[in-house]
Amino acid sequence: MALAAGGLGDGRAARGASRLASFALQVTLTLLGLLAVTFFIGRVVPIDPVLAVVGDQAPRDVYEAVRRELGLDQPLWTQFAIYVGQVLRGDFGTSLVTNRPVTEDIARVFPATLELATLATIIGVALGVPMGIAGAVWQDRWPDQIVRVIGLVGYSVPIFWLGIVGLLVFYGILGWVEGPGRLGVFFEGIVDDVTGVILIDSALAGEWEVFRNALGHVILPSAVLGYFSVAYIARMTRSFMLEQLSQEYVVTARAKGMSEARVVWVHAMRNIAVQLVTVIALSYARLLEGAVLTETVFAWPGLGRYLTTALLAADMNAVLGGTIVVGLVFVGINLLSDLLYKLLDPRAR
Amino acid sequence: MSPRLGKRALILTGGAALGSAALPLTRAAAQTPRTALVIAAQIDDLVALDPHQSFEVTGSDLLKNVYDQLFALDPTAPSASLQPGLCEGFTVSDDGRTFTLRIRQGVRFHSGNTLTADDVVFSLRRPLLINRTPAFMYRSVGLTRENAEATIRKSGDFEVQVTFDKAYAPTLIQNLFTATIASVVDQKLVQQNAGEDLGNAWLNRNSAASGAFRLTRYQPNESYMLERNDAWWRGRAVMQRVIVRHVPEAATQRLLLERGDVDVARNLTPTDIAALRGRSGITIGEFPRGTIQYVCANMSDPTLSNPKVIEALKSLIDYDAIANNLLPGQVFPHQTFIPRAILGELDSRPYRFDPERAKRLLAEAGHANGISLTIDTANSFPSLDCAQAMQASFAQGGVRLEVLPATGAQVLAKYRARNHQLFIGIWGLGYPDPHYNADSFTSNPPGQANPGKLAWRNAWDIPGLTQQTDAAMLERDGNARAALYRRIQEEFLGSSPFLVFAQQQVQVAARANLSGYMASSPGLSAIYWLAAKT
Repeated sequence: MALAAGGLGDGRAARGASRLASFALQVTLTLLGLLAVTFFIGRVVPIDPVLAVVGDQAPRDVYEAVRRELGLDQPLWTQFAIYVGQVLRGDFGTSLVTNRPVTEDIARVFPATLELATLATIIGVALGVPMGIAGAVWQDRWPDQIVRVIGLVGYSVPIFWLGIVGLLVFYGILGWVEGPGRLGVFFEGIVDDVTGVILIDSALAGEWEVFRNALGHVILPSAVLGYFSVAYIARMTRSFMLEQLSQEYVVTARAKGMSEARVVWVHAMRNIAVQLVTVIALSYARLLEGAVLTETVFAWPGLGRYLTTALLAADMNAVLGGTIVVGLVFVGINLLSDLLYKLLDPRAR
Repeated sequence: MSPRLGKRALILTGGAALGSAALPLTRAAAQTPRTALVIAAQIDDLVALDPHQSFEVTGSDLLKNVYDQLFALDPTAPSASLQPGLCEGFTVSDDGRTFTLRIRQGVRFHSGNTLTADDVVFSLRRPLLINRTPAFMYRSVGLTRENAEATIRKSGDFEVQVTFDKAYAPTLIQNLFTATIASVVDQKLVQQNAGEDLGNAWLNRNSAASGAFRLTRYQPNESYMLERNDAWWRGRAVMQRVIVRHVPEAATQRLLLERGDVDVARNLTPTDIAALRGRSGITIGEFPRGTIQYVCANMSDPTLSNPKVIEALKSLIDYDAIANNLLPGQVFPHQTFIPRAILGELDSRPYRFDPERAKRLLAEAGHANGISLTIDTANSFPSLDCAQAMQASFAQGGVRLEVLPATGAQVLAKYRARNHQLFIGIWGLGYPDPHYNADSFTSNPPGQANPGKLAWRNAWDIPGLTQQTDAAMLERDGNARAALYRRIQEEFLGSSPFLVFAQQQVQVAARANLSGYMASSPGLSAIYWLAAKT
């Protein structure tokens, strides 16, 4: 018996290990492909990274020296091989725009985006799911109409405009929230970077003044971003829920005299949970890529703006480093939602 | 089925979610402290903090307030007026090539180290040794990496000798030594922190200076913070702290200013300025800067190489409309290559918008039915806007202009490769001397490919002007030198393929209780140390 159990355990471990290995291989290949595509596109676009470094007025000798320094006189394949070699050693090179190691830059901008995207997603889920369910339960009645209008506005209004108006009203006129940026200028440098997420760092340090200031700064941009998640999540929730509410098991449950709340929140909810996780994960991942326009309006030093600035300056080290981060985010989020599926759906175990 | 209970549950859940999102927040009353100057600006083009590497205005704005240079230009004088800096005075040898600089005594760096001739020698050689972009300015007067040891020497505890390859005009050398590249760094401190790069990486994050402020914090694309140097030899600044925060969007800068969270909004649009003008508590300031805007024509193009065509184009720019309607407050009309407030300035504006004259000239050139041209431009403000305005004004004279916008770096590569017909661009002065621009606009030594020179990029063949430009570089007498540049400019106005149409000024909005702050100065940088608040 013990032997049999042991054998069974070994088999499972082996299966687990092989699954892990194939997963790792898949991730590596994905990232390598991503790197190659970004690298070669970056080298064929007609932007000259040397000019981005030396500027308009540089004489030829300066130009040539920097070109050699950047390794751009080497054949393309050699450049790629050198780059991949460096990446494997954990060296993503130096950004031309900030003059600092790309890893250091990303360690600074990614937490800013993470903070914004996470709060926006929390807002999106907290409002979007109940709204979507309300829309489904009262289909074609007034709550549904309201949800539809909110969804439509969320889809059609440009986020740039919404951000400016939000700032004007809630910061400029009402003064309910703090202004642009992650922190008030006089709060900077008080809390040491631990995670880079200011809300967490200030809470860990017990600096509640800083925490309140940071919260005042993050609330509006995350609400603006979150609004778009709300629109998306509410719409999807509504249609998933509508489908479930027309199923026979729902009729049966109702016929048995089960409360409507139990029917909706327990029975139907369990059946839409997996789909919902997919939708939320996708919307979260999209936000983690960075939201350039929102970051620009709110002077938020996040990944989106970092990548855009880098791209326009042909700063390929920064672009490639950022692309890897985005790739890893998607892999990570996929992995997380796979685990959640297994938790939520017994059939997937 | 009990729908009532269900609805209540749903409403409760939704209500809780709403409540948590709309967390009430209170905020402190907005006003910056009296001892701090807070500026909202676009600083994402700040690449280098090493004064011997930095080569953009945003960098100078910071570095000129942190480092002292050998000479300075009086920030309060309306036109270029040289002042001693860390160099108190100098003598020139009989052959005119060797300058002996007397270094100010009793100056201390922020670190507490005393500034001596050793620091000056180190700081003069260092730009050549690290050899970044601005080093070409020193190379243009014959200082090189190879001869740095021999040409830059200590001749006393507070005396330094520099030997150039020619007997350059003293004003040229003084003006060159007001530039950021002539900043004196704290040799001991730099060497303590230097790797193999002569402290280049370290100085890109820290300062080793003796100037008005000390750099205490810098985050690329976010902000920098300066702290006052109480022991500054010129007398300490009024403000204890200067904070410059990167705010990319103009509308956001304006909101910050209106709320009183910043004292200065540095990059506003003409629309924002118009809306803020006359608002109580806010003032508008304008500061000329050494940057000109121009259009140029490639002389290797058969159509454009006809002087009559160029003359016609010069009559098709609506100079006044650009200055008054398109870029009000951001530029003023200017038609030559030496900016106003620089030695040799010439306020001659012979051209005005005259489509009839242009048509006549084109007909004389054999283009009675007009011509079609392309103009390359960066896809950004203000070049793109000006190019579009010119499309309309050129059309009135029978010139069909096709605007070809692309990213700045893309357009520049095409321009440097001489693949353009017309190009519209901006040219900034690297150091406040006429030679800097003359070297690019009116010098094109035959037989040399030099994409750094605008005359070369436009295939403008000018042996005579090249000689005059070389001669002006050597004229020892300041007034005679200015006269030479005026003559060069007269010739430039008549025959060059350059259509200079405006000089830029920085237009800022500030809180009314702020005075003395300068967004730009004759020394080509912002001045923070004169700022005060009531």
